[in-house]
Amino acid sequence: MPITRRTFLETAGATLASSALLCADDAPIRTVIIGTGGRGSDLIRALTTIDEVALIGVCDDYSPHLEQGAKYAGPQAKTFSDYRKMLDEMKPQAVVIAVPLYLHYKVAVDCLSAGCDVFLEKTMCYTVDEAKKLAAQVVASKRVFQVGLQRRANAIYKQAQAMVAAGMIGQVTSIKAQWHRNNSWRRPVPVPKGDANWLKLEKKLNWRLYKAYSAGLMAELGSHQMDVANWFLGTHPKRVFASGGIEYFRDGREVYDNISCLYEYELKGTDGKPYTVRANYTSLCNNAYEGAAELIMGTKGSLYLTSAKGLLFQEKGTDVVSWEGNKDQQTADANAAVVTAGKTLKLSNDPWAHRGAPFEIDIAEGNDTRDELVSFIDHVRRQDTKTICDVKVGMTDCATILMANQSVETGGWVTFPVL
Amino acid sequence: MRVEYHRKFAAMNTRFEIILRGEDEQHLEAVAVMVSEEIQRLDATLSRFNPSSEIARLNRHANTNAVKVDREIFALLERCECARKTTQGFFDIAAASGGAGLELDAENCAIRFTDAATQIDLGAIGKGYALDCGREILLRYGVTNGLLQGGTSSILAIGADDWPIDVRHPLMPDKIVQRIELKNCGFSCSAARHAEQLHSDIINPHSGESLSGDEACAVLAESAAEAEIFSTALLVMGRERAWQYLQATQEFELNRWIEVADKETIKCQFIQ
Repeated sequence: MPITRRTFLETAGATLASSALLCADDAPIRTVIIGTGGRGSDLIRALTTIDEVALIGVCDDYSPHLEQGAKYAGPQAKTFSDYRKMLDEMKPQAVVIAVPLYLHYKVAVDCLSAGCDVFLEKTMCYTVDEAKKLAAQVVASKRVFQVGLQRRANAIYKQAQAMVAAGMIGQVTSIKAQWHRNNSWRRPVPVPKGDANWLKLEKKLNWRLYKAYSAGLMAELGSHQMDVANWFLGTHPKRVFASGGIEYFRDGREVYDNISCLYEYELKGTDGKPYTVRANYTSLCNNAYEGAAELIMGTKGSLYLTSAKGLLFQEKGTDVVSWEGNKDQQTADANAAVVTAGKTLKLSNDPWAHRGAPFEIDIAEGNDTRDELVSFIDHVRRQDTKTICDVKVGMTDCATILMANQSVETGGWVTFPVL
Repeated sequence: MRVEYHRKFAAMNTRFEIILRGEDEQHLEAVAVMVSEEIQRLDATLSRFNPSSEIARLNRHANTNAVKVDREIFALLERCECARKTTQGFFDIAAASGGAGLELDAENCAIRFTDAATQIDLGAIGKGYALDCGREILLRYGVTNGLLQGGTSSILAIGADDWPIDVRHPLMPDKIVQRIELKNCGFSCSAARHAEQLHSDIINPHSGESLSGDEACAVLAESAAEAEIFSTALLVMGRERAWQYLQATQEFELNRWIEVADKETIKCQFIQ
């Protein structure tokens, strides 16, 4: 079926229709948060802007973080250093979890056992076994469960996914994604080296750098972006080959400071024949030129995506986006109204002339961290377990990123595990 | 061994710079990165041009409904409202839309605009506030000496060291008006316009008109946010009124009024 503006609109409309609608007459959801460090604080700030949330408890076992969390949460939130005590005492309906990766499984299971609906930060679990067990327990518990892969709530990504599904970039042939930075990815420790408490605090605050607590760049950064690949391609990768190491920041860390991955996805083309999509993923800590972005490449165009910008580059010489063909509507603005629902495509003034003038996915509003929580709370309120990023998505994402680390360690191709 | 660590980054539509002094370069880098990430976070939440920001959300909805905001934004807007009153309305984050107060509901942490046309813009306080938040991080992680600056117009000196700062002529960027030493204080310089601007983008909330003249005003204060509030307010008041205001309030250690007489000569005068 040829892709017309109309079929694209219908696909995009379906995505938009699922956005949260809240009833104003119900009491706010009694919510607590476990983990009030950097990400936890982002989540607290977002939670406190949502009318339907009553944030009644905050918990962290590191007192400076707990103080920070309490400051953002406000005086109506009780503070705890032990999350089990908080669950017992506050009896929350919903729990938001932002603790180091190695604790995800244990804390999430304890919250489910306490009868709570759970929002768990990505990556869902530290091992695939834990992910499988957690998935079984979520299903058995019938609780509302969402993983914090916020691109699933981002207006740009939702529209881009609808565009890919509608065939606007043709057959997807390749994906290139990266998260590049130029800094040590190290958090400061409040006491000098040589202080008796330094090592303890280093492991506590820089848990991302140590293998006992962290799965490194893939879990903390790559999980978001490989989830985009899984989501847009509608499946998980079949296999991966990855190479990584510590080449620059030789500061005692155990996780790689750079990693390059080649994933293979097996899909069926429009002609029914199987073909392979290759996704290249890299993460670097000493060159920030490309930043964090995903490039979805198809036979008719490419989508360049970040949390704040989405650009569509058409392949030259192809009859791609149907509104280009209409001579009466030469400007993007004239066509923009057709795309509707608060999102417009407009001609960008981006200087990447050699790529051709892109169309830009314009977000009217929305902040993906806030929006993912609004959606979660809406599902809690309606006791709807079909969240925008459910336990199956979380488990698939977890397996996708951990297989890359496994490939680095074994030095060979790793096949996607049986889930 | 004492080391000095430098880091530059883009935020709030300009360049920020962090200079930290201490013993351990790895630690200074980690602190500088945390400061830069905090300032970029504030940029994302305070910019009225970013549709994902909290300020953009307020500008969309607060004319018609009370909008629940986080405690950080509430405290900042409360401070802006307080500054509007303290400066007799000359500092006003709603200046461009006619100037108006905010309705602050502290119990529910909610904001409502009192005027249907109000749109707020934190451009005259955001950089200073961001630098002050950076100072909090420095102190939390034991960095006691440093200089933070945003767009060269907002500066915050931390610790016992003197930091020499050259104040340049607003219309002739190569011409230095005066060198001052900053020690443990905030600094802000507001100019009616820059060399590349034909008209000022600063609006007098009382008249609704953009500033005329080629004046500039530099203020030192305890925090970078205070310095920014008063460099804007005093400049908008104009020299005579600012002079009277300062005589009555006695708020500052030191201020400078920079008056551009013509392209070549400038007058620089202490007003307190």
